[in-house]
Amino acid sequence: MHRVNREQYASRFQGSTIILILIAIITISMLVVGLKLIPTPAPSSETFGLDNWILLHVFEVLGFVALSMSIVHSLRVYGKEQTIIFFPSCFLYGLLLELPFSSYNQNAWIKVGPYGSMLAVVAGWCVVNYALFFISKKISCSLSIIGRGVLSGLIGITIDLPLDPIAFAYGLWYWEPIFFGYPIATTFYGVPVINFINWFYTISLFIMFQGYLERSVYTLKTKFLISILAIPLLAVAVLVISYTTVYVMFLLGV
Amino acid sequence: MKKTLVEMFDSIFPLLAISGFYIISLFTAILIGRFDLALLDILIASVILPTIYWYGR
Repeated sequence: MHRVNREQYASRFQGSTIILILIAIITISMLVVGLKLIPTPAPSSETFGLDNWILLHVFEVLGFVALSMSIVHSLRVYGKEQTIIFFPSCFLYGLLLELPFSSYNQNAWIKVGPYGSMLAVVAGWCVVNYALFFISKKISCSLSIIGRGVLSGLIGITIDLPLDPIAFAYGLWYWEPIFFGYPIATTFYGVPVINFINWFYTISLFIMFQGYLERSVYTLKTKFLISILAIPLLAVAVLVISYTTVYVMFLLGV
Repeated sequence: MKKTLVEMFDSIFPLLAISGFYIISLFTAILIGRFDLALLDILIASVILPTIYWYGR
């Protein structure tokens, strides 16, 4: 009887992976075309938020509480090894991706970087990535690593679809109409459509990276070093893919 | 009792974390009076969360 080991099985390009990739392409295309055809009102600056920023601070506190609970959950379910490989790497990933953005509400309690990025958003990235890493594994153990990444990215888009327009309407952050120097015409309640696509790239690549790392046979020390040292490359990969997408959208006039 | 709660935490925490994003968005949308966005949030959450729960059992 022909048998394949876990590594071979995980890296095999299964039919379900191809279907998931097709679903992702169709979803993203429908999102871009749909939002181009159906205009959604952006919040005007006069209606930004409440007079106080209590919800902003609630968001910050909840972000760190959820991060702590995720670490406790990971320690219980996956053990110390997986937790050490996942969370520092994910935190660094979130930090690198958030630091260049200068459009955050400056009333936040904990800010990092030259532009005052909210640290709670980085904590939020860790929670989202961890939850999706767990869920994608639980949903289908037989799914390949690429399939798990694509599935997680798709769920990520559905999390951000209501989250970002509401955060923008409240005033947690604002969006520039220009992305990588190109004007963004297609928005969803004021949020550029490329932001949702970036959520897909960011989550998919990280879940795939962690999936491969989890299945690899390196020692804990090597895995930890790879998990940290590869993150700048992963962040650059996300930015390059994102830039390419923006450029293609600009050429297509969307 | 404690053991049951801990086991429940182990199995449903990631789904609860995802639900948390929808819930905080919903509260914010209602508090700032954006009921269109609140409805959107409910619509998406009511499809995604049961689907994840169903397939993740």
